[in-house]
Amino acid sequence: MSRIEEFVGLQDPLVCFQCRRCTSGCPVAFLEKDYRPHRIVAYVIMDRVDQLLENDVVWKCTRCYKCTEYCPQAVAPSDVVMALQELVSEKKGLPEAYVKMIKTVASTGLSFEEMDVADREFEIHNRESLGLAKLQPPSRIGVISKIVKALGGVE
Amino acid sequence: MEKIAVYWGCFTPTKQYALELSTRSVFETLGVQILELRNSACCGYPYRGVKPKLWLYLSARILALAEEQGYKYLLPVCNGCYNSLLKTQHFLKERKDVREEVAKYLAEEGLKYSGRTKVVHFLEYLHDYYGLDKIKEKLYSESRKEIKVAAHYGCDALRPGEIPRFDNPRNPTKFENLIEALGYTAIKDYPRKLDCCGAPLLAVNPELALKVDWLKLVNAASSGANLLVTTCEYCFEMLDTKQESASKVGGKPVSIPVMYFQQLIGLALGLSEKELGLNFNMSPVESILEKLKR
Repeated sequence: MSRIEEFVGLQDPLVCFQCRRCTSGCPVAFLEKDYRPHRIVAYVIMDRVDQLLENDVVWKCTRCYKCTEYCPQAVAPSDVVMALQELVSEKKGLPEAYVKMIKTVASTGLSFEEMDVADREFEIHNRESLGLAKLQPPSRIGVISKIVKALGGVE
Repeated sequence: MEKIAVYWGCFTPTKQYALELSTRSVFETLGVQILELRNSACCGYPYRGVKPKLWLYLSARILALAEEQGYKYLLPVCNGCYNSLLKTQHFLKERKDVREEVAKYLAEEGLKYSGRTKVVHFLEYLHDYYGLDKIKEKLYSESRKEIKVAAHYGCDALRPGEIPRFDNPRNPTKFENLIEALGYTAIKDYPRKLDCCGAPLLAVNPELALKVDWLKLVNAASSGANLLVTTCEYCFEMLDTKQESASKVGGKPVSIPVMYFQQLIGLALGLSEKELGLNFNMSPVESILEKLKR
């Protein structure tokens, strides 16, 4: 449980008494039968994290922090789920979408490349056609890129 | 404060051009000068779960840049960036070990992080710094009263409330105050008012993201609002740009005009649709646009 303790933020999941207030307010729990924040916290307390990582349940959090906001014990279930996302990424590899975004940060500074966007009349626009300044990578992108690749675990 | 340093994040300058256009033109018309945060990059928000140290480095870097460039206040237009910067300040204050590690990375660029920068939300800036009274004095019109406007604050603007926020995280009112300062009738409460747009799920679970989006939209529409407004480009992408996709995934069609609050203020200031990027709104805004120009 060391990783959970390290990055769960500043709260302690062990004080959870399973009141289910987190689950009752969670919009994802309303939509998805297998997503129950209180149960995720219980698995962590019982040291059964491996079982949680067997399916994709940790990728169902929408990071709205309602669970954390309304927890009477300040357990921060959303932070627990995020710590589990890190664990599962280490075990099974970082999801491809994140690999792509981190690589884009390393080359441009931003998580996305500039996109061509259609308006309601299907006319295509970009920054230049809209009179917005051209995007440029930060001047010290070489240094940033090296650190981003190391911390992001991408080539 | 008639000058403010603005941090644009990633998604606004690469896709959600309407937010950049409308924020720039509204601030210019209100007489607020935008100071650019030079050499900025991503704030790390998407990586908070999967690569927490990458998140903390990128986020502290933005705050350190603001310090380097002499900005005491920094306004991120994106809710995600806003929360990312606030949470980083909170976390690094408590965790000296991580702070020292981040400091080493920042030193490679000659940057220093002290955590002193005041991070300001767009709504906070208008309400508390520019001034609610001044907005009302300049922009109030009685003729708008019949139009009902619902606010979507966005999760990252308000939660978790353990970190001091610009408004009450469980019962916020400043957005509604600003809507009423223009003369519109604000919908004070509606089911799932403080719920999520689903955007953080887009990267790994796009279908669930659209379900969450649909749940939000159906409830906002049930409030009887003629218009739903937000200030965050991720929320806007979900509520406006992906509204049609959400309808398909949700099973029951939903249809509600959505705008950036910046666009709504811009219309009250007499700015043109082009200046506000209103040609990019994909929700049925045309049904209400002419009424909003009054």
